[in-house]
Amino acid sequence: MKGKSLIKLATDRIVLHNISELAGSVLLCCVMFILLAILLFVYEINHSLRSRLDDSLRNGCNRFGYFSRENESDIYRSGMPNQEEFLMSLDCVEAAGTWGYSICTLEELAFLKDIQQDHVIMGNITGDQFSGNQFTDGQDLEEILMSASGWDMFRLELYEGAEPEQYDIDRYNLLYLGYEFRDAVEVGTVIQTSSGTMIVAGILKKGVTIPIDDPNMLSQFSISSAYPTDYSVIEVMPFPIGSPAYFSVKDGYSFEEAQEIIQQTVKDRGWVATVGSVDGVLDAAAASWKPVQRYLIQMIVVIGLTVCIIFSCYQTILILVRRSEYGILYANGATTKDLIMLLLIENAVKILVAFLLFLPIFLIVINHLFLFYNADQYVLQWIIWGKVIWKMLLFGLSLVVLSSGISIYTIKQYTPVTLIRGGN
Amino acid sequence: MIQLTQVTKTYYNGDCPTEALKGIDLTIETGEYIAITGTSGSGKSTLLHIIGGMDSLTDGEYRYNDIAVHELKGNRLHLFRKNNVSFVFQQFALMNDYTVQENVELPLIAKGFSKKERKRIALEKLELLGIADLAKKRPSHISGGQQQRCAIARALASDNDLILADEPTGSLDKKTGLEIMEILETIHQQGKTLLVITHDPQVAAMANREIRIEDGLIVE
Repeated sequence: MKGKSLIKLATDRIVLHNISELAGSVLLCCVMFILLAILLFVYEINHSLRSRLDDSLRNGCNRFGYFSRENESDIYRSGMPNQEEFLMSLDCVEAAGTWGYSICTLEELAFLKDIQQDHVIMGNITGDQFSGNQFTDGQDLEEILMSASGWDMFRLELYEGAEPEQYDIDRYNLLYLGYEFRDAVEVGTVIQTSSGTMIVAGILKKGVTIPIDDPNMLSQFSISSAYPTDYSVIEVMPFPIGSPAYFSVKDGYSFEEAQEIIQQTVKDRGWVATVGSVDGVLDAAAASWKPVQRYLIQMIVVIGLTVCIIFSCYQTILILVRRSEYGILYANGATTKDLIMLLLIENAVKILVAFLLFLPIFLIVINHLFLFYNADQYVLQWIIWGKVIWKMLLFGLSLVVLSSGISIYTIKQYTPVTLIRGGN
Repeated sequence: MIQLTQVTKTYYNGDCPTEALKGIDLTIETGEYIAITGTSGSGKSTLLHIIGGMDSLTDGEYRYNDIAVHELKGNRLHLFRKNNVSFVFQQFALMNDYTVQENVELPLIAKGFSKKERKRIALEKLELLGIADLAKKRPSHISGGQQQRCAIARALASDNDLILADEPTGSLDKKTGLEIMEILETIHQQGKTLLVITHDPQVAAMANREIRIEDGLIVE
């Protein structure tokens, strides 16, 4: 039979038969999809923290640490090097710096807001309404302030321009703009502002990410560990932004060796400081999450298998109830291949309808279950579409194959003669 | 031409074999009208199903014109049936969720006809059987006689040369049954080869030849 005819026959059989049959199959699969997707979503949120952070760091998160010195401002005022300068003075440290989010009220940079618009990190988006927090009310440009010495910690690849070391950092504050600004302003443009001279030093590549500004605070409840920079404005400055300072370990040193050197040096100078590993923070988050993760995986497997079995049995029963129809089709020219295709199409249509029903419900449920910062939306979209939805599609396909396979095997146990007699 | 040589059919219920046909030799010329009679369980339906490609034989040879049907298996047997054989069943074997017209179109769907052609042929056959006005009705909304006419229209629609009817009047009253048999006679006169299983002597008398089967063998 032609494909179009098979599809027509299959959809006829779905639609013309008792609608509660269709509703039953679709409802069962839809509930399965929702449950599995939520479980998988929760699992993937936590699972993705390390990978996204790793992608944003030049040396990876197992060579990334934080340093916080007690009485930092007093020590600095007494003429001692600041935290970053101290760390950079050590052989074991590759780069050290600080960064954080801020708003920029400079009128000379207001034109960048036309492109940034609502694509900010530190604001909440609820539907069409933008509500700001202490960082931005949605009107001002959001920017990331970064100390120049910290640049090399990150994997900030440039689409155009040069890295901070190519510039005279004492003369200019450097502006690095996200990929979406590439047509708005040329690299090398000097902008005179009320707070100093700035130069557009570079445009970042599309998709480049930067870690959240406090990775030492990551926990099992964190959603994001790195944010995209496509709409970001990064201002690189010659001095620290805040505390703690972060550092990446140089090649040739393990993190433990570097940590020991730093701690010894701190002790020698009579300071009190905390030196920690971001990897350790992630390990602690993962450890507290492990029992829940294990439980989630078990739930996913149990629910998945249970629904597979129930759906397959349900479909097979439907076929047995209607087996005389298959006999009629045989008697009127259908081949075994036609019947197999009919079964596959029938099951595929039911599961596709369930999937299309599940998708908006799942997205609505996720939106209501979690309150997100705007930036988390990027991570969530990545998790939803990149990790969850396609797995649900794959699962749906497997269900089509499995349920059809059992049904086909069942039908093949009958000859056309016994089918047309209703199996007797 | 249909030629059966020492055809046997054995069914196995667990380890227990049942010989439904025990060595049938039969030749049917193209265009013949054959009535197959016999008691219940004699093997009439089994013979019909083997001739129609709905079931395979256990041993022997079955040739349909140049086709060695006994060598066909699986989809090839289904294709033989699709291209050569049409059925009319006692219980009509109509799809209850389809209209009369859609039921008649079924074999045409299998043969790949376009929607327009299917509609044209279906209505033509329904017109021939005098039930074109019932085209949009469901089988459950028409009488037994009308349902059987629909089944015959479906058999005609595929334009196959061999029509097999298994007790076509078995579920009908005498008057309606005779009407149906007259229709089948008309079909036969158009050159179709017609095999009819029947218990009714009046129906058997309308055929060119009667084949009586007892206990899996042809007795006359």
